[in-house]
Amino acid sequence: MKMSNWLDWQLIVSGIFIAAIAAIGVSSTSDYVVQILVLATIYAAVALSWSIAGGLGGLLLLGFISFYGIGAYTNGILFTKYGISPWINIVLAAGFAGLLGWLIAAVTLRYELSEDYFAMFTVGLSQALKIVLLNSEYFGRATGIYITIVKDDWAMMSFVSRKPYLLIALLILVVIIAASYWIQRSTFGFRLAAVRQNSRAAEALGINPVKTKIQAIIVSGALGGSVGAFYSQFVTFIDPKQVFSLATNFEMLLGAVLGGRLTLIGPILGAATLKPLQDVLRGVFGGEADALYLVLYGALLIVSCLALPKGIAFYIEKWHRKRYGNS
Amino acid sequence: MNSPLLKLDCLTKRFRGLTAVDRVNMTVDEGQIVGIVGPNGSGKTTTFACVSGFLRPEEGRVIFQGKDITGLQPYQIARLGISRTFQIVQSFEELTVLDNVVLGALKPDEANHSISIAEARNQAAEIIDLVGLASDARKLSGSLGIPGRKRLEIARALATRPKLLLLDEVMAGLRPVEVDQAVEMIKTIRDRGVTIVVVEHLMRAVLALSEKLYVIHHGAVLAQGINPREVLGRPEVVDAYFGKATLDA
Amino acid sequence: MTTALAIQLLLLGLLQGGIYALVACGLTLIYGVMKVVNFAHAEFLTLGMFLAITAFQLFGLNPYTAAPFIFAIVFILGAIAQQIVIRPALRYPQINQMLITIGLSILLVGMMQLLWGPNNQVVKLSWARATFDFEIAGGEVSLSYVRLIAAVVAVAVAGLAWWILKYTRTGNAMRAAAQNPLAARLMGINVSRINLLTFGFGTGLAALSGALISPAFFVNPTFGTDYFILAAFVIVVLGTMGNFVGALVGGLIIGMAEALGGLFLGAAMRQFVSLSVFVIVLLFLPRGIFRGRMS
Repeated sequence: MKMSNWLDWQLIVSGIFIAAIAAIGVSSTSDYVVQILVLATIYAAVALSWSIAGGLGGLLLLGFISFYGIGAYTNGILFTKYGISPWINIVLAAGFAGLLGWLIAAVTLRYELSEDYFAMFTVGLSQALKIVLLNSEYFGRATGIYITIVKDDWAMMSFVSRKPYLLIALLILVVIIAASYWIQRSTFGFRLAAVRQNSRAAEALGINPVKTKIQAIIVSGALGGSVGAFYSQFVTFIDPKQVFSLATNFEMLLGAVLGGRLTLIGPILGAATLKPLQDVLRGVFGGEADALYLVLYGALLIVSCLALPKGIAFYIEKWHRKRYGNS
Repeated sequence: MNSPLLKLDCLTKRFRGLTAVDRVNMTVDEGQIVGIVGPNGSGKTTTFACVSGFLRPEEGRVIFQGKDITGLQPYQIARLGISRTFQIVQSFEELTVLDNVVLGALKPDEANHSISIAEARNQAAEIIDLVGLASDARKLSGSLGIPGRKRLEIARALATRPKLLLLDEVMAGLRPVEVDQAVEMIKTIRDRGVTIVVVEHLMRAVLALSEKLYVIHHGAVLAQGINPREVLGRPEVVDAYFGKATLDA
Repeated sequence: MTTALAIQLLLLGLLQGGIYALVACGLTLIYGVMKVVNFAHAEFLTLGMFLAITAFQLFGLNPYTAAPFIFAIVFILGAIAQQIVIRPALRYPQINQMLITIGLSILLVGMMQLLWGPNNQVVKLSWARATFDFEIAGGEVSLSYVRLIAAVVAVAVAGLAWWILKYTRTGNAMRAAAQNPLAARLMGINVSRINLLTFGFGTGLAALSGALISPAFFVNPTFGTDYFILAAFVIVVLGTMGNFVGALVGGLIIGMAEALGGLFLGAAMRQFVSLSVFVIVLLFLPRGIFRGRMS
């Protein structure tokens, strides 16, 4: 592992970042601070999950929240109705979300739909799922699902304090970082990059673009689903409008894009700074003056997308290239 | 006599009324360098596209190593051992020169097995030396000039360890001294055991390389022979390139 | 469920469809020419409604008189937005473009909330509740005049827009730019100017639709996103993205489909109908019911 290698450097920095978050969180006396840190970690984890298909894969996977919501409800239902441990549910959620990813990919890629269609399909699907759940008795309709925590129980991922959740969230983030790191170093990563940059030329090199894209969507979806499952356990209350929210969807994507969706550190950086920033802005301007928050947030979105099309990590990479020569 | 490595059997490709490839018959023996020439728009690149799977012919067959590969997907054909360059250079802009070639070396075989990345890096380094891009290895491929990009195309195709290499007008835009270098490089590639089919405009290169020449006009094989100079001197070929007026003059 | 009631619901669906059509036409026009999915489209509709309210409250103008002015104002605003926000984005990857129009949508909702507040408002037209009644199939059908006028005008404007696209120089330039921007440039068409006009025109149509329906609804800043954006996207895809006539026809189809959905599944499921059509169309008729773009 060398600092001069861009990917390795990102891994090391991410590790330091996570250690820092853990340190701040554990030593903090404010529940509010821990809450923000957990949510920032969750957003970072989702953004990084998305970046495998949406960044490395170059796919316009706009409606990502479907996986998150499926994951959330997987844990919500299995925990409250069947008493299954969230530790297991997180894995099951990855399975269900991955399955959904396979369905979406297999169906849409068959038709060689343009990217715009694909994007709109994924968005439409997420809202369709929302409406189905809103009308489903089994899933709690609009009332949603409540998870009651009475006492600490590690086996059931139930804690009175917020701090253990932070550590678990960071653990999940570490797993996803490891996944992205491994992919970027693997043949699969090469294939993704090739298909993203030039699908035709990739085909001439024996790469099956459709299969590669399907794999990317499954991986991204599965990871996103697992984060969603954890989220439901953390917030202890979910409803369709919350976990299938388009607003949340775009916030998470925004973190990945602004941070730099092609990199390891970009989505983490982007999401982890954006989420707290949002909450602070909302705190300052919220309530009656919600309008001002919206204006600022919308303007921020526009300006940063225009000014940093490749994300912040692009500039960090340039600096790294200059500092260390080539990877 | 051995069966040919590649055989085109009455290959026909039509685009809504325009017959771009017209009942083309062609054979390429293992270890040969075969040249294909013809005026612009005569169907040479379309033929390549049919062979490599990017287009599906209406009629006819493409037979590679005795196996009918007509209509297979491009990636399947690549895995069987046919590689090509594109007329308009295609590159992976965000990757370095080295990684471009590594990508080629990672090409899976028919059983979808790839070599390791480390091994691919070794093979890529060797090929980059061969084509003369060693000093540019770590640069982003987007920063190369045209001759460099052409070399990269060839390098990447070569890295796939092809049995058959299709080169589509790789000499275009090169200066004479670069053309000579390219000719030498192509011969070296053949000496490594790769069968090559070259589509070219540049007569000098064609004459220097081809052991067998096909002349294509209006999608059909106009002339063929194992003596390129003689083939190019035939009246119907001269006519195709320059028009009847010259013939009478 | 009497026949008369069924007819009433279907006719209402048709009227709603007319409005949908005009909104979708603007959206599909923008996509066809600029290849940009305008996620902020619904906000321009809402803006049109608010402008109608202001015109009524400040100047006593009814929405129908104010409509041309509202169109003009939003046309200009849309053109400005295009210049500042959309135009630079065209060079960027699609995900950036989409996020930028989403940002624009959020920005507009915020601005409308700043200017008009978050609460429901309406144009208090004296005859807003008047209906056109007639007897049919042994029962009575009652159609609101506002909706009737809105639908008729909307379809008329859509027809006018279609005529402009087909028979004027600028319209043809738009269609050329939609088919092949590079070739259009080479033919001397100023594609930047066309993009400007297209975005202004498309958003203007959305605002016009808003003005036309304003007496019939209580407006708040998220009105457009809540009630129209989904249908608009479904229609654009159904009618083939970029196809103007497709958007018109698609609008009427979706209007009716929603009415039928409401008939059989209950009012709450109307959105579900749009979404189902959406998912089904994308799965089985991805290119929409028409072929090609801008025909």
